[in-house]
Amino acid sequence: MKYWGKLILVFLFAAFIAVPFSEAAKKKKEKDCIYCQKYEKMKDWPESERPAAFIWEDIKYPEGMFLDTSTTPKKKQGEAGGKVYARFVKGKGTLNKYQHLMIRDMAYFEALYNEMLMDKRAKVETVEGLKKGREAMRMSLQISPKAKSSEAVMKFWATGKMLKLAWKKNKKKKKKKKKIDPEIAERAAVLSNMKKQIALAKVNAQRAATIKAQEKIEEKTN
Amino acid sequence: MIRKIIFKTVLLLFLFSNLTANANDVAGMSGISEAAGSSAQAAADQLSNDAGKVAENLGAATEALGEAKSDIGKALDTSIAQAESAMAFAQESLAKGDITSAVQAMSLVEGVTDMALGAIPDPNALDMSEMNFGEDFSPEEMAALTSIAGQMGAGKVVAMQKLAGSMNAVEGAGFDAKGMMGALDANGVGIGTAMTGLAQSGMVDMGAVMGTESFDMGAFDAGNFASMNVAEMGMNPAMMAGALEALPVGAATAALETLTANPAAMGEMTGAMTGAIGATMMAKGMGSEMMDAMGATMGMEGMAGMAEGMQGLEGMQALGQAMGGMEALGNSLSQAFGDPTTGITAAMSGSVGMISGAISGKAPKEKNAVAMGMEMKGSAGAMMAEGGPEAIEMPENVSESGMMMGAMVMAKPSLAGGLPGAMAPPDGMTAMGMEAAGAIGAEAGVGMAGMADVMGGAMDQAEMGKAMAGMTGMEAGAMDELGMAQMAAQTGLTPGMVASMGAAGMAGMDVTSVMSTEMAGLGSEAIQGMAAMAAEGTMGAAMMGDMMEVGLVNQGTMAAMGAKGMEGLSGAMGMEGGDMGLAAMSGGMVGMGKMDMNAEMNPEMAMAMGVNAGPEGAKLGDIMGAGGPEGGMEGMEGMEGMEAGMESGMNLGQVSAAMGTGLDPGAAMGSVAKAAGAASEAGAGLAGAAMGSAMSAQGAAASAMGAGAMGAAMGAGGMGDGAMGKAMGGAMEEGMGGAMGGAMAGAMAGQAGGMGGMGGMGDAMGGMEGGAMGGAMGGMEGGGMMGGAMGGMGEALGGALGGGEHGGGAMGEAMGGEGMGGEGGAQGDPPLGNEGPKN
Repeated sequence: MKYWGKLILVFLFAAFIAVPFSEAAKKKKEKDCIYCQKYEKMKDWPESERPAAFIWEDIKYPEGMFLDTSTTPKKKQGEAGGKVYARFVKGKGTLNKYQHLMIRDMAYFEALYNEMLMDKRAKVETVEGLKKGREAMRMSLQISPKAKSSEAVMKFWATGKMLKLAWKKNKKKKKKKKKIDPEIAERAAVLSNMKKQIALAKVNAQRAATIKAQEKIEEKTN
Repeated sequence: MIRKIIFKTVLLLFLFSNLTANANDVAGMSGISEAAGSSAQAAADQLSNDAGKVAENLGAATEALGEAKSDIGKALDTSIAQAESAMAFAQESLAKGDITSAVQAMSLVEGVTDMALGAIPDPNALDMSEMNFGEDFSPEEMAALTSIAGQMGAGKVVAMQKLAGSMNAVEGAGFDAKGMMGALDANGVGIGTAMTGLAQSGMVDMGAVMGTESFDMGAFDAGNFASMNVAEMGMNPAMMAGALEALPVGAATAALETLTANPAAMGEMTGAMTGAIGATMMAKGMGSEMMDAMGATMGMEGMAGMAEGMQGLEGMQALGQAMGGMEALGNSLSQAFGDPTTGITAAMSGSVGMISGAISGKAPKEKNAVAMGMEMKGSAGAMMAEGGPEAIEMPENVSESGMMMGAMVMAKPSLAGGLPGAMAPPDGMTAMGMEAAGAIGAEAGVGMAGMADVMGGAMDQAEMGKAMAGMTGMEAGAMDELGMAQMAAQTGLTPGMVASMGAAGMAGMDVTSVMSTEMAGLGSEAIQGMAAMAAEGTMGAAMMGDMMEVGLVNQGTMAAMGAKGMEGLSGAMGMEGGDMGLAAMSGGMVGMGKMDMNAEMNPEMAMAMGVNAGPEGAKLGDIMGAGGPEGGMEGMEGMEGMEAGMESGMNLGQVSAAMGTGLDPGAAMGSVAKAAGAASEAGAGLAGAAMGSAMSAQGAAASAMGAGAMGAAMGAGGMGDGAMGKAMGGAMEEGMGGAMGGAMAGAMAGQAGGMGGMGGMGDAMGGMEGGAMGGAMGGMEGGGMMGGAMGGMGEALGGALGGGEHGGGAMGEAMGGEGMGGEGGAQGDPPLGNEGPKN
C-alpha cells in the first residue's frame, strides 16, 4: 500500500513538473503567421500564390539612400538590415530623442522587407513577422497597409528629411527656446480636466437614462 | 396703449412658453410613453447635476488662476470664460427639459477646448515654420509630404465640421455661439483662426466655405460648412487626394459627384482631379467593374481608365504640376506643417511619439503642458481633478433592451450637431439635415430624419419593433407599451445603430465619430445605387467583394441592402442560414449565418477581397491561417476561439471596417472571429455584439479622423459587474487588442495637449477612474484595452526586430545569419507612462 502511495506521489510530482514544459513546448510550436503554415521558405512560395504585399517591387529608391555598391536586392537587403539593426535594435533607447532619424530609417525597414521578398532562402515566417512590424511602423505616418513599398519608402524618407532639417534648425535655437510657462500649464490642466468631466457627464446622462429605462422595463415585464 | 402692452406681453409669453415646450426633449419623450419620459427626465437630472459640478469646479478654478500675463495664457483664460458661459447655457436648457441644446453646448465646449489646447506649443514637437520646401525638397518628396499632410489634415477638417455642427445646433436654440467664437478668435484660438490656417494650407477654400476671401464670423453658415463634402469645401486637389486616402471611400464618391455636377468648379483641374479621386478609390481596393458601375451612375464613362497614371505619388506629382507647378505645392506645405492651427504637426508628433515610445519602451523626456499642470502641487488643474462628476456604476440587472432605450433617449441630443459632411453621411444626418427635419432650434421636435431618405418607407414603426424584438427577445406587446418602437422610429436610425450607440455612449466613445463610420458613404448617390443593386439581387460576387474590401459594408449599407442583399453577401462569403432581414436591420449583430473553417468563399468574391483563391474557391480556414494539412486548426493559437466565433455568426460589417483601413482580409476576419468567439464563450449576447461593432467603428473612425475621433471619457469604468457590463468590457478589451487597436492608440496619442507621446498618454489616462483603460494605459503588461493595442504593436515590432520567440528573427536572417537575435521589441517592457489607478 505504502509502495503504491509513493508511486502515485512520484507520478503526480512528475506530472506537475512536466505539464509546464509540455505547455511551453506546445506554445513554442505555435506559429503566429498565416502563409508559413503552408510554405517554409520564399522559394517554396510561388509568386502566383502570393498576395500583392508579398511580391517584390522594383523600387527606384531616393537618391543617396543606398551606397552605389548596393546594386542587387541581396546587397540592398544587407545594407538596409544593417541600418535597421543599428537604429531599431541597438539604438532603440535613443528613438525618442532622434525621432527624425527613426522616421527616415523606417524607409530602410520598408526596403529590407521588400528586398527580402527576393531572397529565396528567407523564411516565410520571418517575412510575415517583418510585415507585421512594417504595418506597425506605417502607423506613425498613417500609411495604409495596402500602399506600395515604393510609396511608403518615399513618405518615410521625405518626412525624415523634413524632420531632420527642422531638428537642426530647432537645435540652433535651443537656447532661446522657452519652457512651458507654469501659468499656461496650469490653465491647460484646467481645460483638460474640464473636457474629461464634460465627456463623463454625457456618459452619465446616457447611463442614467438606461438605468431608468431598465426600471420601467422591469415594471412592465414582471 | 396699456391694453396693447398687455396684449403683446401675453402673446410673447404664450409664444415663449410654446416654443420652450416644443424644444423640450423630456416633454417630447413623455408624449411617446411614461417610460420614455421618465428616462429622459433621469438623463436631464443627471446631466444637470453633473453640469452643475463642472461649472462649480470651473468657477473655483477661475478664481484660483487669477489673471494671465502671457498671450497664450490670456487665450486660455478666454476659453475658460467662454466655457463657463456655455455651461451656464447648458444648465438653463436642462431646466427647460432641452437635453439636446445642453449636450450640444457641452460638445461645443469640448471642441473649443481641443482648439485651445492645440494652440499651446508642444515641447516634444518640432517647429517647422522656417522650412523652405521648394528649395530643399525634390518634386517626388514634396508629393509624398503633400499626401501625408492631406491625410493628417483630414482629421482637423472633420473636427472643425463637428464643432461647426454644434455651433449650428446651439445657435438655433438661442446661444450666441458666434459671439463665443468671435471672442476666441480675438485671442487666436477660435474657429475663424483655424479656418484661416486650413485655407492657407489648401485644406479648405475660403471662397467655397464663406463666399468671401477671408473669414467673416457674421456671414459664416456653420450648418452649411458642417455638411460639406471635401469637394464642396474646396479642398485643393493635392490635399484632397491625400485626405481621401484617410477618409472612407464614400467621401471620394461624394466628392466625385460634386465635381461631375459642377465641372466648372475646378476649371482645367477637373480632369486631373477626377482621375486622382478615382485613383484613391482604386488604392482602397475597388475593382474596375465597381468603379465603372459607379461612374455610370454619375454619367462618367470608363472611370477606371481615368485613374490610370494618377495613382500614388505619381498622381500626386501630376496634380502638383496641374496646380501650377511644384512651387504651389511648396507653399501649401509650408503652411500645412508650419502653422499649428492646421493640427497637422500635432497629429504627426503624436503618432510618431507613440511609435518611438512603443519601440524604445521609454516615454519622451519633455512633459506636455497638461501633464506639467497636473503635477503642480496645489494648482488649479490638480484641484479641478479632485472634484467633478464621478462615473455612475451600472447595476447588474441592466439588459440590452434598457441599453437600447437609453440610447434612443440620447440619440437626438448626441447627434443634433449632425455627422461631419466629409464622411458623406446620409443627407438626413448632416447638420443641414438636422435643421431641415426640425431636430434643433427653439421649435425642435423629438425626432431626426436619420436614414429615412435612404431607406424610403422600409423603417416604419412596425418594422423597427419587429427587429428590436428579434434582437432583444422582448415581447412586442411590452415593447409597444414602453413606446420603444415609436422611439426607434423617431430616431431614424436602424435598431443596430441604436444598439451601437448605446454601447458607445455608455463606454464613453465619441458617438458622432462612431455613427459617422456606421453610415459613411450613404450621402453619395453612387453608394446608395450600389446598395440598391445588392438589394435587388443584381450585384455580382466580385462587387460584393469590393464592397467588403473598401469598407463599404457598414450598418447603413447593410440596412439599405436589405434581406436579399445580405443573403447575397453572406452566401458569397460562405455563410449558411441565418435571418437576413434581422441581420440587415441589426447591422450584422444578430441573424448572421453560420460559418466554419471549411466554408468556401465564392472565388470571384475572394479575388475581389484580395484573397488568393483557386478556381474552386477559398476555404476560410486557409485564409485565416488554419495550418493543418487538411486546412484544420492544428498549430494555430486561438483557432478554436475563432471557429466558435464563426459558428456564432461573424459580423461582416466589422470585417469590412477593418479591411477598409487597409488590413489584410485574413487578419481582419481572424480578429473579428476571435472577438466573436470570446464573446460567445462569455455569453456576451447582443451587448457584446453591439460593443464589438462600436469598437470596430471607433477604430475605423480613428483611422480616418485621427485624434478627434476618440472620446475623452473612453474607459471611464463603471460598466458594472452584471452580465452586460462584463460582456461589454470584454468586447472593449478584444477591440483594443484586435487588429484595429493600433489605429485607436495612434489617434489617442495625437490628442490635443493631453496625450503627446506615451508618457502623456499614461498621465492623461491615469486621471480616469479605473476601468479597462486607466490601469492598462500605464503598463503594457496589464492586458487592458490600451495595453492590448500597444502590446499588439510591440509584439509586431518585437517579432520583426528581435526575432521573438521563434528564433532567428528577421534581422538576423536579413544580415545573413539565423541567430542575430537582437533584443525584443517593446512588448513586455516596463510601463511607459504613469500607472493608472488600481481600482
